[in-house]
Amino acid sequence: MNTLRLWRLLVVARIRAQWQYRASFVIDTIASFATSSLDFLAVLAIFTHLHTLGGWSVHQVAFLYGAGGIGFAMADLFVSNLEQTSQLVRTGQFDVMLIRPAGTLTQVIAGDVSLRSVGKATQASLVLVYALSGAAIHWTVGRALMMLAIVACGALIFSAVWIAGSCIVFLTVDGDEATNAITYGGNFFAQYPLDVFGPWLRRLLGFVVPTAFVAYFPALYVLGKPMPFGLPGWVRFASPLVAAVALGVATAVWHIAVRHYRSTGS
Amino acid sequence: MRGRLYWQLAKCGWRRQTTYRAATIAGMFTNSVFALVQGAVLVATLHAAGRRIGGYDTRDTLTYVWLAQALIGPLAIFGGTEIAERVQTGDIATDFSRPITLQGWWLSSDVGRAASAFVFRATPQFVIGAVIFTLAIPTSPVRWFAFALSVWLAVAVCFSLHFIADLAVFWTISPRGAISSQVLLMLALSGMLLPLGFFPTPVAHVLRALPWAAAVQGPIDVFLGHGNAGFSLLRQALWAVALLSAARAMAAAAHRKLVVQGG
Repeated sequence: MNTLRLWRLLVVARIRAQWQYRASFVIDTIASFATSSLDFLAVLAIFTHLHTLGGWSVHQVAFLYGAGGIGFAMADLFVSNLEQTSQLVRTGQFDVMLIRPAGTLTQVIAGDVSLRSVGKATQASLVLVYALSGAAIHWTVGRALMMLAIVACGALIFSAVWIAGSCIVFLTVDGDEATNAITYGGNFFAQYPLDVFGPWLRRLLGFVVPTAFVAYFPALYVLGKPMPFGLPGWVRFASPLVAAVALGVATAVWHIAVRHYRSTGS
Repeated sequence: MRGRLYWQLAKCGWRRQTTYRAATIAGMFTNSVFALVQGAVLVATLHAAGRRIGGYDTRDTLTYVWLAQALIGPLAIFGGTEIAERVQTGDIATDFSRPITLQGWWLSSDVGRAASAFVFRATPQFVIGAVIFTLAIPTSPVRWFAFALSVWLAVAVCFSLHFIADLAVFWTISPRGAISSQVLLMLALSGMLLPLGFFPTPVAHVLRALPWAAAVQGPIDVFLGHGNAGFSLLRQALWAVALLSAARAMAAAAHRKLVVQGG
């Protein structure tokens, strides 16, 4: 619990620090909102040529994009400072973290917050509103609860992916670009129905990196779509469990990596 | 004398890019993953549409996707914060007092970097795609020559766009907004996210006229033999000249704004 309190203190300090440059924060957030909106135009452009992609309508794909996008933006907001890990290792700042009386993961994550992700989260929320307006969902209490679960699990799964992916820099300090393949790549993958991908891509980016549990499987339940690939129905409800396991595995990988970490010596 | 200096700078840029082998491999891995995902989505789109889109069949589309991902390295699509960092730390003052212009200095080193990235990153990256899929590869030497020219013009365009976004720090103080917006505009409007031919025709026309298209869509059009290569090269050249001039003017304005403190 001490870790959580420390994390909160550090994050509040970062928010206050960024809030000092208010104009810059506002511009960043608006820029993040506007430019991520362009990103969704690509999806709309694809749908000018067809009615369904892999059996999914434009509103249903927008659901994946919006629901997954909110989770990703939240992970980006809180843990994307992990992208600085290679810089910390290279400059030796990480060694300083090792001798402080707090966990390294907490320190790296709380090193900064990406407040402008609020812009991306807003854009994803609007896309989700667009999706819900046209997807003709038969609402039940279960489905409404699932909407909350999607956002929370998405944020946790993407955070786990970010943590585990960042460990590559302990192996090779210049390898940090490979992390993008599963973080940003995972988000890109999660924006489209699993049905359009070949079996290997599906296994690796959908299950090993569990992005299929971010939006796809919960969406099957909310949108009332049939289970694909002969999977059992309970998989649609597995996201919270997957999120918890993913976080556990990711923090374990981080701690193992840090235990084997040797300073770059420069 | 000055020509030699530019040459030396380009050589340094080349050597620096070549040094980080792990980074090159990591980058290629990431670009391959994106190409696989994007390729799958676009091929599914073509199948669902049941026809060519914007002149692209499956082979052209896959070539497009792998070539676009291969060009990320040479064009440094995600790069270009170094100058901004130097503005923030004040090191830019040193750059301004060099015997050649700020732009000349950074452009020469970027050309060397791009050449190295083209050989050691873009080429193997594209070969990976060509091994997995059947891609459209030009047979005419003229087309290859035009493509090489087109890539160089794209490097000049990208360099200028980065340079302008970086120098914006002189006015915005925080580097985040301008640079991240530039990168995202590049992704969305250059054809990196979606070939411009996949957009509705009027939108595609507008996007093709913008500078970002000169960075990614331009070279790929030439490679695939879509449209008139001469016209495409001319458009790229015009953007390259316009943006290099704009960047030069911006550097001059930044120079006037710069106040060096201390003794």
